Amino acid sequence: MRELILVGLAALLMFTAWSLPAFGSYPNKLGGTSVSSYYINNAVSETGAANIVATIVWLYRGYDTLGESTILFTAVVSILLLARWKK
Amino acid sequence: MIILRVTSKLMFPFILLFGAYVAVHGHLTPGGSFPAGAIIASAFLLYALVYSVEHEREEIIFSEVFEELGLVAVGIAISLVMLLLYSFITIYSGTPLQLFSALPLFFIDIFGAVEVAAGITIIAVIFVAWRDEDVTKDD
Repeated sequence: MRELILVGLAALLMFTAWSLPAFGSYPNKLGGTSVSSYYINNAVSETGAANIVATIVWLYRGYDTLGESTILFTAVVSILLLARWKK
Repeated sequence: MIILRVTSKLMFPFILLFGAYVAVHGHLTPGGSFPAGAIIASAFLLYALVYSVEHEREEIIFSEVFEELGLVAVGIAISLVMLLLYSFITIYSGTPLQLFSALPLFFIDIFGAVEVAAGITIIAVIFVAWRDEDVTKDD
């Protein structure tokens, strides 16, 4: 039964990957009206940064990454608490 | 062991330099503040693994101050960018592919690298101190 579920899941994932646009193709099926083509066309002229990934992560979605930094901070503080707890 | 000590002492400033390079060029090349902080912390982790940890409490307090400063700076910078700049004008500054272009991203990368480096250094120092305690207990 479990093997059957796994095979079905694999088939579903293969089907999804097959329906994706080809690697590096632009404009692709997702482009045109989607947000990805907006980033590709306007990110450099709006921010002046050549690294579009860094632009999206730190400027367009900055609060998300701020929360990510807070997650790291929370992990460090909890490890500090554990260390003090043990001594 | 002597080879390890000499080599790690030689490589320590170069790993720091590479981390600073990745942090400063975060808006131009692949990388950014998280990988840069991990690289800088790996230098301290190498040093702590080879030479062990001597003043654990002082190092932890020192790094904790830096981590909180970095997190607060990242928060202030991102909030400024979000509230003041991004909503109604473009953040453009400088010509692309120059080092001093995209100044908000430049500073956010540096602050984030400080925060991540301090945080991972704290984890490394604590784990190395735990390891040394266990080693001495087993002996």
